[in-house]
Amino acid sequence: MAEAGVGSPIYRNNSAPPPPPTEFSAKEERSEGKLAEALRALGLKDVRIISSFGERMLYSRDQSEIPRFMKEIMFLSAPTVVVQPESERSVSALLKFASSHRIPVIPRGSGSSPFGGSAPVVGGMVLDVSVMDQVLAIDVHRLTARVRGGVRWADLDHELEKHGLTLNTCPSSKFSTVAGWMATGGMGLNSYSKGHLRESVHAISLVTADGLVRKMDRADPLFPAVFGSEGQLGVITEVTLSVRKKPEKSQPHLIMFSDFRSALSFAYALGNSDVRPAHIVYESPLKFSLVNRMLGGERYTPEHGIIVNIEGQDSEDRYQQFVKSAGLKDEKEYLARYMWNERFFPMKMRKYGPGMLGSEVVIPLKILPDSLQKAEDLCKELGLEPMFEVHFLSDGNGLLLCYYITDQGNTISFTLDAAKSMILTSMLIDNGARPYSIGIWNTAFTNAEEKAQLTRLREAKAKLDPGNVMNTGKYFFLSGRFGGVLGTAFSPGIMRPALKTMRVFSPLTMRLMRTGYKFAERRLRPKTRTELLKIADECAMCGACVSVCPAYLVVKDERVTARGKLLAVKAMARGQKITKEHADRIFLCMRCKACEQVCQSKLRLVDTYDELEKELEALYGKDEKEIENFIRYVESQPDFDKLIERGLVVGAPKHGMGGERDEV
Amino acid sequence: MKYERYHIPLKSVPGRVGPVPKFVIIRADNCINCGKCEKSCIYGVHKRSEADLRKMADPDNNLCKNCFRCIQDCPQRALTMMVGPDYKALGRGLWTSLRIFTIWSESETGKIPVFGAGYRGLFAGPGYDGMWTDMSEIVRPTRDGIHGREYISTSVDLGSRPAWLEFDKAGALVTDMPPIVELQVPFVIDTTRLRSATDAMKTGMARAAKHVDSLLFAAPDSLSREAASELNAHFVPVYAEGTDLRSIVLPRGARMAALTLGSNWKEDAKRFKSMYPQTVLAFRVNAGKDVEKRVLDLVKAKVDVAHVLFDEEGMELDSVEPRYAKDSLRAIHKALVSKSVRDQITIIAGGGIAAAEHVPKTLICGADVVALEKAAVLALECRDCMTCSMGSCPVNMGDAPAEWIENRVTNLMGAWRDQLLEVLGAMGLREVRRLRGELGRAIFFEDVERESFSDIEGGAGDG
Repeated sequence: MAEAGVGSPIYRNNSAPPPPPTEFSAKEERSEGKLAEALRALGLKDVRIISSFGERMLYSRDQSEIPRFMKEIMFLSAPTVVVQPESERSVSALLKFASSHRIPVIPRGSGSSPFGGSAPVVGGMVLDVSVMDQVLAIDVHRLTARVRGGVRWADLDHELEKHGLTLNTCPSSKFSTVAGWMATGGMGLNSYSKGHLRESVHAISLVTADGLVRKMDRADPLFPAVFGSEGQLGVITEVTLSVRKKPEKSQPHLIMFSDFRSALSFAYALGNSDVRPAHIVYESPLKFSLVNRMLGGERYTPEHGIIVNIEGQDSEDRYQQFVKSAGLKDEKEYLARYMWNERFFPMKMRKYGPGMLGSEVVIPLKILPDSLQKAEDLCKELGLEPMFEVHFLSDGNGLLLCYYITDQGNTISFTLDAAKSMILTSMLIDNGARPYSIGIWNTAFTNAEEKAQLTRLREAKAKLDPGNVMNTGKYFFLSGRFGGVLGTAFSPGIMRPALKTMRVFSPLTMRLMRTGYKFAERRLRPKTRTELLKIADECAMCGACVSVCPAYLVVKDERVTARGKLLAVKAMARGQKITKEHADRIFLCMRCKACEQVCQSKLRLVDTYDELEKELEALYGKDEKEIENFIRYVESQPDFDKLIERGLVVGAPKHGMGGERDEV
Repeated sequence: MKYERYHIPLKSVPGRVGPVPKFVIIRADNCINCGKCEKSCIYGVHKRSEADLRKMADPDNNLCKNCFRCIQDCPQRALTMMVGPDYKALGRGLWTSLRIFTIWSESETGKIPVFGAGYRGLFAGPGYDGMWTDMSEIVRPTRDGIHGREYISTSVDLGSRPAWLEFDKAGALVTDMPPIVELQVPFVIDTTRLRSATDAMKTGMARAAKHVDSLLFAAPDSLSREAASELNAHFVPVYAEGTDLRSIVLPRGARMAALTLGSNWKEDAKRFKSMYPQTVLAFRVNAGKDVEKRVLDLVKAKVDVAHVLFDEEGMELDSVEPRYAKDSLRAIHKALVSKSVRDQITIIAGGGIAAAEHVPKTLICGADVVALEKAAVLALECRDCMTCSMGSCPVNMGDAPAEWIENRVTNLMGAWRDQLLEVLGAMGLREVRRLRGELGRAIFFEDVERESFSDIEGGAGDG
C-alpha cells in the first residue's frame, strides 16, 4: 500500500539496470576546411581528424601565456587541422600525405613546454602523438622499457613501479610525453646523477617526412641530432630507454644559506665530494616566501636554499658526514620533503599574478654566481622581482630558471613584461649561457646553441627533411604572417643587438616602459575580471589534467579536460562565441576530481565547472541525454576501470582501511 | 463450505517518514563519483544523483544490509560504515534498538527478519532471554510451518471450558456451555495502557484485529459510530476500576468485555454474569505477589479470562520484589494445574512483549494468549522517545491514517505468526494450544546453571 508522500521503503525493487550503451561519440561540429576532407578521404581508421575551430584553437598554443598581439598578429598560430593517429603506420601515411602536399607538420606531445615549439607559426597540420601512449614492454633483467612516443612520464613511472623499477631522469613536468622531452630538452630531475636523457635512450623509431619509419640506435650518426631537434626531423613514435631499480631509500635534504654565493659554493663542494647526490637544486628566497604564502604560515625562512636528494644508505651516511664537517645543519625533514615534492610544480606560483614569465638557460657552473648577480641587478633595473631556480647537471652546467610574477590580465603591462624576459635571456646568453630550448620565443638565440649540436641538426635536417615539412618556419628561421617579415624580427641578427641596446640603456628603457605601465594602469585596470577568468588565468596550462581525465579517455577531445574548459573560459571572456557542440562537451565530465588531484596550481576546478556550466546552461542549454549516455558508457569501459583502480592519479589518497592498493 | 487455510495476506507498507537507519554509510570527500558502488550494491543503497547524474547521490542508508561490499569495492576507499548514532540512541531496557528496528522492518515488509551477518550473542540474559526453546524437529521439512505440507494451527480459545460434559438419557447436552471466543492467532492488541493513542490508531488496530481474526482491547467508546457497527465483534471494552456496572451498555455485537479488579470485584462479576451470560468476562489483574491466589479466586468466581498485566519491561507491577513474567506466569500455571482448574480460565499476558520470540516463550510459561501493547505502536514507526507527545512526535503519529495503521499492524502480526509457526514446526507441534505450559519444551538458563555448577564450590547456588 504505497500511498502518496510515504518515505522510502527499506527494500527497494532493484531490478537490473538497462545495459550501458555500447558506443559513445559526442556530437561532432561541422567539419571545416578542404584539408580535413582530404585527410578523411585517406580513410585512416585510427586517426581522429580535428577540424572544428574550437578544438583546433587548443593546439595553437602550449603552456606559455603569450600576449595576444605577439602571437595572433605575427603568426598564423591556429593549425589548419589537427590529427591524432593511434599507430605508427598512420603517422607514416599522414607524413607522406603532408610532404606530397607541402603541408607543414607540427609534432606535439602534451604541449607542456613554454617556448612555443609545438605551436604553429604558418598554420599546417598539428600531429598530436599523445594518444599513442602505450608502454610496450618492460625488461626487468636488462632494465629497459620500450614505449610509444606519446607515453607520459608519470604513466611510465607507474608501470615501472609495479616491477620495482623507476625512471632514470624525468622532466619537471611529469605529465609531458617521452617523445616531447626528447625533442625539447632532456635535462631535468636527476640529470645530476643520471646525465642527459640521451644517455638513457638506446633506440628510437623516427617517422620522417617521406613516411619512412627509421629505426635508429646509438650507432646511427643521426641519432644524437634527434635530441633537442624540436620536431625538425620527424615524429618519434617509439623509444627504448634504460630504467633502474628503485633505490631502497630516497631522502631529500634542505639547507638554508644567507647569500647565494655560499649556497652555491656549498653545492659545488658537495658535488666534488664523495657523497654523489642524486640531484641538487638551488632555490632563491622569493620561492620560499611564496611557498610560505601558499601554505599560509611562516614555515620557511626566506633565504637561499639548497635541496639535495640522496639515494641509498651509503650515500646518506657520507652526506651526513659532509654536512657535519662543514658545520651546517639540515632543515626539518618535512620541510625538505615538501620542497622536493614541489619539484614537479614550478608553475604553481602563476596564481599570484595571475601570470608568470621568465627565461630558462643552460649555464656553465663556473660563471653561474656572476651571472646570477648580473641577472639580479638587471631585474632590479627592470623593476622585476625574480625567482631563481638552478638544477645542477652532470656536465658541469646548471639549468637556470629565472621567473617573475606578472599580471597576464593586463595586455599592455603583460606585453612589456614579456619583452623584459627577452632582455633577461639575452643578457644571460651574452654572458656565456645557451638557451635551453628554442621554440618560437628563443629563435633569436639559435646561434648561441652549441655549435656541434647546430651542425648536427642542420645536417640531419638536410638529410631527413629536405622538403622542410617538419615544424616548418621555426628554429633556423622564424616565419610568420606577412611573408615572414615580422618573424624576421626574431632572427638572431636583428633581435639580439636590439635586446642588447635595450639592456645597455636600461634606465631609458625603463622610463619608456614606465610610461607604458602608467598608460596600462590608467586605461586598463578598471576592467573587471570575473572569478572564472581569474581561475583560468591562474591555470599553469601544464596539461597534467589531460593525462588523468577519464572523459578525455573516451571523447579524445581536450575541450573536455580542465585545461580545455579553462581555455573556453578565456575565449568567452575575449567575447569569442563558442558553438553549441563545444558547450555540450564541457558537460561531459565524470566529476572524478582527478584533475584537482594533479593540478599544480591547486585550483578548485570542480567548483569552477559548476560555475561555468551554469553560465553555459543559460546560454546553450544542456543535453541531459548525451550526459547520461556518456556516463553509462564511460562506466562500462575497461580503460576507465584501470584508471580508477590505480586511483585515477598515482598516489591519490588512500582510505584509512590501510594497506596498499591491490594491483589490477 | 470451501476449505481455506488460514492465511494473513501481507504487502509492503513503506513507512511515512522512514526508519532511523541502522547502518550509516559515509561518503568521504575523496569520492571520485566513479559509480563502482552503484554496481556493487545489490540493495540499491548507492545511486547516481537524479539531479546530476555525474555525481553520486547520498547513500540511502535505510536500504543497507551491512554487507560491506561497497566498502571493499570502493577504489578510493572513500566509504565508511558505522552503526548509526541515532540507531544506537534508540530504545532502552528490554526495548533495545535492535528489537525496535526489527519491529519496524516486520511492520513494513510483513516478513521474517533476517540478520545477514548472523546473531553474535548474547545467548542468555534476564527474563525471556534466559529461555531456550526446543528445536529438535527443525530438520523436518514437511513440518515447515510456513511452506510445509502440514498445516499448523495457531488458533486459541478465550473463555472457560467445563471439565466434563453431561448428557441426558436422550443424549442431549445438559451441561451449561459457557461462552467462548475463538481467535486465529494467540495474540490480541491492547491500547488501554499506551501513553497516547489516537482515534485513528484505535480504528486501524481494530481493523487489523478483524483482519487477522483477533481482538482489540480498548476503553469503551473508543470506536466511532460507523466503525463500531463493523468492528464490535473484534472489540473488547475495558472498564476502569470503580465503574458502576449498572450504568454500562455493552457495544452491540461485543463478544467479550474486560473489568478491572477492584474491591467489589466479586459482586461485579456476579452482576455481569447475570446481565450478559453469553459474553466472555475478563478481569484485569496486576501481576505481583500472590497473583496466583488472585487468579484462583477468579476461577472460583467463574470469571472466564484473567488478563495478567506486567510492566513494559515484562516484570510484575505490584510487588516489592518483582518477578519476571516468565516466573510469575509459571507460578500461576502451576497453581491452576495443581488445583485441576487450568481449563476453567484463560490467561492473557500483557506487558514486556517486545519480539516475536516472546510469544512462544510466554505461552510455554503458561499463558494462553499474549497482548501486544507497545509493539503495536512501534509498528507505526514510533521512535520510543522518553517523553511522548502527539504535538512534537518525530513521526507525526497524530496524522497517521487508519488504513496505513491497519496494514502496518497486520504486517507485524503476520510476521510474528510466521515466526511462531517456525518455532512450532521446529518443535514438531501442529497446534499452538499444545504449547501452553509445555515447560518441557524449553530450557531455562537458571536450571542449566544450577545443574552444572551447584555442586562446585563457588559456583551457582542451588537456586
